[in-house]
Amino acid sequence: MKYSYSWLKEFIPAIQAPKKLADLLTLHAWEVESVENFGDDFILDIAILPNRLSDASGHIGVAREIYSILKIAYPKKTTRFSLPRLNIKERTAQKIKSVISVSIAGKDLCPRYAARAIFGIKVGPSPKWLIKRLNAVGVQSINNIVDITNYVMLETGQPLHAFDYDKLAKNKFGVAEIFVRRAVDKEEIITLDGQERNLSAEDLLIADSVGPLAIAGIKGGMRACISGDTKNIVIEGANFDRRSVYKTAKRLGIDSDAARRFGAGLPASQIPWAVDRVASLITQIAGGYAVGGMVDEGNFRNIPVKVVLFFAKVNSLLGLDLTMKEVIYILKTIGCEISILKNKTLKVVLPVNRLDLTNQEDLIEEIGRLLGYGKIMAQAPKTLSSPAAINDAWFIRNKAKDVLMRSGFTELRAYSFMGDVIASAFGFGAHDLIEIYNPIADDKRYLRPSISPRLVISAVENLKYSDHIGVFEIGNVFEWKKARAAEKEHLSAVRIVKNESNPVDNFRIMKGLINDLLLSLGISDCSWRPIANVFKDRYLFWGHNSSAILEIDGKPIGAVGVLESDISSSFGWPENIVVAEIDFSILREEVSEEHEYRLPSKYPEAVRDIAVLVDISVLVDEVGQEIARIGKNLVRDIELFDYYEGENLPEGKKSLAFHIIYQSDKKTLSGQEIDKLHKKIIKVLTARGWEVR
Amino acid sequence: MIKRQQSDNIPIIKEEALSKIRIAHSTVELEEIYSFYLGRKGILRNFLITIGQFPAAKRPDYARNIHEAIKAIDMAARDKRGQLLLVEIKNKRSSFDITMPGIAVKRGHLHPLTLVERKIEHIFNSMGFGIIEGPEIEDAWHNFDALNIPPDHPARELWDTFWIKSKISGRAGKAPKSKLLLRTHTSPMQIRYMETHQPPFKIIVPGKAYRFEATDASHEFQFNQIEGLMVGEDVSVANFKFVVQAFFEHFFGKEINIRLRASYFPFTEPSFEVDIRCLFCSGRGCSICARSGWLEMGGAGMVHREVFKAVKYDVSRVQGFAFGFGLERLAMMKYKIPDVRLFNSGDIQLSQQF
Ligand SMILES: [Zn+2]
Repeated sequence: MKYSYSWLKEFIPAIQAPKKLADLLTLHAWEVESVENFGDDFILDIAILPNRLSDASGHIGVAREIYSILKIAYPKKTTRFSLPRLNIKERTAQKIKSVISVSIAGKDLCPRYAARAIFGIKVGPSPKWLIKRLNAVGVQSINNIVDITNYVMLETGQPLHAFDYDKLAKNKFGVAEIFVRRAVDKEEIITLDGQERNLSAEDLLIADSVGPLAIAGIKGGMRACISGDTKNIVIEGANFDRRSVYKTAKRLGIDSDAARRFGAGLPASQIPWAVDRVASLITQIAGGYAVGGMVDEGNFRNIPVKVVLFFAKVNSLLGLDLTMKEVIYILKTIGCEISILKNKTLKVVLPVNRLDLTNQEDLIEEIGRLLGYGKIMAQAPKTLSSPAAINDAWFIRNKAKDVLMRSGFTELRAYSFMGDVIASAFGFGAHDLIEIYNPIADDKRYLRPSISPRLVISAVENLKYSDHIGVFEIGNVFEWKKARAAEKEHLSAVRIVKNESNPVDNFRIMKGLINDLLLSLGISDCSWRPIANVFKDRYLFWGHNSSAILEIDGKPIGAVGVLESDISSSFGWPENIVVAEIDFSILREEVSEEHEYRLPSKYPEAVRDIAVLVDISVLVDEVGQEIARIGKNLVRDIELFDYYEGENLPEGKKSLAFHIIYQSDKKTLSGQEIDKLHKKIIKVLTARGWEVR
Repeated sequence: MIKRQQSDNIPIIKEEALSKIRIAHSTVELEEIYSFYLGRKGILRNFLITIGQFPAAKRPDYARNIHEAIKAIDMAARDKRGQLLLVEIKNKRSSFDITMPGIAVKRGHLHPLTLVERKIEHIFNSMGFGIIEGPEIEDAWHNFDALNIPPDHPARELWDTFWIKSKISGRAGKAPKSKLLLRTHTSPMQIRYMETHQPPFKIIVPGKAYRFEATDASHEFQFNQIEGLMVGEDVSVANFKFVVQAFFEHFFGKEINIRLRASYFPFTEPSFEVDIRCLFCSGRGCSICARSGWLEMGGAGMVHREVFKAVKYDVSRVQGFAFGFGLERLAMMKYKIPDVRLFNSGDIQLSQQF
């Protein structure tokens, strides 16, 4: 908000120079975003914090703050703060009650409504000094009456409104009757900007017996507005429920100076002075006289709030060593009245204009910031707390990142959002996707249910740097699970080889990487199944004949495979894209901390090879598992060393060759024992219809 | 008793040594010859020790002779060693030319935010802070209400929010906004943690947060925060200053000047902004600190009594501080990364520099 330096100086003649003032305000109260010249004046753009709009949205409030800061920073200097003198031309013979009446329906929404009547004014242009003040803070001049209400609002923070008295409906006694009431549903008003507004029963109105005059606290209506030939006026100064004004302004989309102030909450105690200030300026500038007295309705009572402050808490919370005298001095400069109770407790009567102060910590903040946090010396905490618990998730995630990084994969991070195009291309149904109510862009309408799609796109984009790319990300994914928004952590890795169309090696490298990752996390018991056999409609973007499901303890936790060729070709991507995505949340639970060391066998190993001719549909794992089943604990390992399909083999067949490693951890196996077992394996494999060669 | 002929022997010994060196066949043989004459117990070394026992008149000549011999033998041995080494390397050449350039083993890279996060976590962990994590989808109560940010209050506008569309569609067939949102800060974890733990404790909460706002070089709608919370009987602003100073000094690896400036957050009282003296201009004022000499690092304050009340703590018995720093900002300062949007760009070249 903009404040004029010369205006502030009116209240504090001994004010600091503009730059120095800006520094003090920034440190102790609010950031001064700029100081700019305006003729012979300076304009300070001050970011008043939201809790202080209630007392500092006018020059007087900011001047009060400056006064407190100066009194504490320079206690020896005489700094004075004073308000301008009022000078109202008033004819007390005519009583206000004979001119206006105000009745409030719903005093909870309007705790105070004050008004004065000023008769015989002359509407015209404002004097130069007034126009300059308004222009300095960015307000246009309209006419002397409107300008003065704006001026007093900028001075006090209190929005004020002027009605043309002669346009108000009168009762049979000739009294203008003003009602503060809720609108009836669909009631209409044409506001000062010429717009027709549709109201609802939640909105508060100022009305006469004919209809609405203004939307309370937000904007005035056309009907009783000030015009060039207005002679008699009513000045309104009121207080409205903060929440009601805030909601109505939001709904109608009106962001007026008044609405912003009322929406933050204003002290009703400031109204009489503000109304009198308007009356004073108008009768000085626009002529006329004020009718005797002021209407002041509503259930507002000027009862200041009291807070009990434990003196010890001040030093304990701030980490300072202040005396009670110092504390009292500081609180008095902001207008508190203080009495000392027993046990070093203070009874603090809060200043009525400071709605932001409600409890003892609020007062401690005032002490801390006005004194300056720079006065507080760093001090090691003495509170003991139990040693920090090891966070497993964090530990395991870091380990996984290291494994992937050492294997040549580079970590990327991406937005947690996804759009329709990618969602449907990758086979995600809109039904399970969590949609954002107010998306920032079309391609960010949903929360991502999977990391892979975006990661694949990034990987493809990075092919400009290299012919093969390996990238990964670990992050959260989101999906509706029935009516619950489910959030899980996933790991996704993508590997693309540009100039090699056969994806087998790429797939095996990725599978090997995931195996290595599992091993490093202490998981050795996992199995891989062809994707086509399980959950046909669950794994949506992997090719059905070239992908595998990873299972741990019989639970599927992810998949590794070639990206569905339909997807890659529709985007014009290379064919050889292998994607792994793993539910990291489940994996974390499976990770056992116990990682037992197994002694290597002391006895020699023997290797026999075996080659099998099987149907194309038979899996390497099937053959391997059969060998392991027969070999029991005498076969330590089975390694596939050749895989062949194609020329020189019968149609629909493939050839698999394994090293079988025989070893016992109890004795040296004799050649005879090994031969016998090997023969048995051959026999059983043959019995399955697999030709051993 | 020194024999006279010893001095006459020196030229002979020298010639003998030089001819042996000349015909040496290997570096091993050469080293043997060298140590026989010039080693710690070599003949000429011994002569050196005995100079003092030589008649004074003859001493200078004698000494010069010895030094000359040593020098000649040393030089000859050095030359020969070079020749022999070259031959020996050439003979072993069945392998390869070790002067070829090295081939880099291709490793991957971690994202700079991961590296910065680890560094921060390490520093706080070493000060005894636990590391806690929480959900990115939050409910309005944890994100706002429990943190003393009332509904229909302008203060709530400080956090422009991504709301989640309700699963149930409304009257017009459109789904209304639900009570769920993307957390606008990591602060709701203060509530979640205190709901299930009793003080004293100190934790940090790293994680993603989201704000519905336009992006530019220093603003992102998706970003990372490090939340901190320390609660006990007597935790003070002075303690906060200590912790935050220790953190920044370890993080930037140099002395750091800190300033707390008055601010407002509904969930802390007192509230302050944490500034550090500009790292780039040492406070003289530059473009990075907008000529102020200070860099804004984040918000902090003493936990508000309404927050303690929301988690049913006894406000008369506990006090503590909370803070929130932007991870991206710390990374940008540390690595001089100019644009916050690079972090989510998916460009591999960002990570590859680290
Ligand atoms: Zn600087």
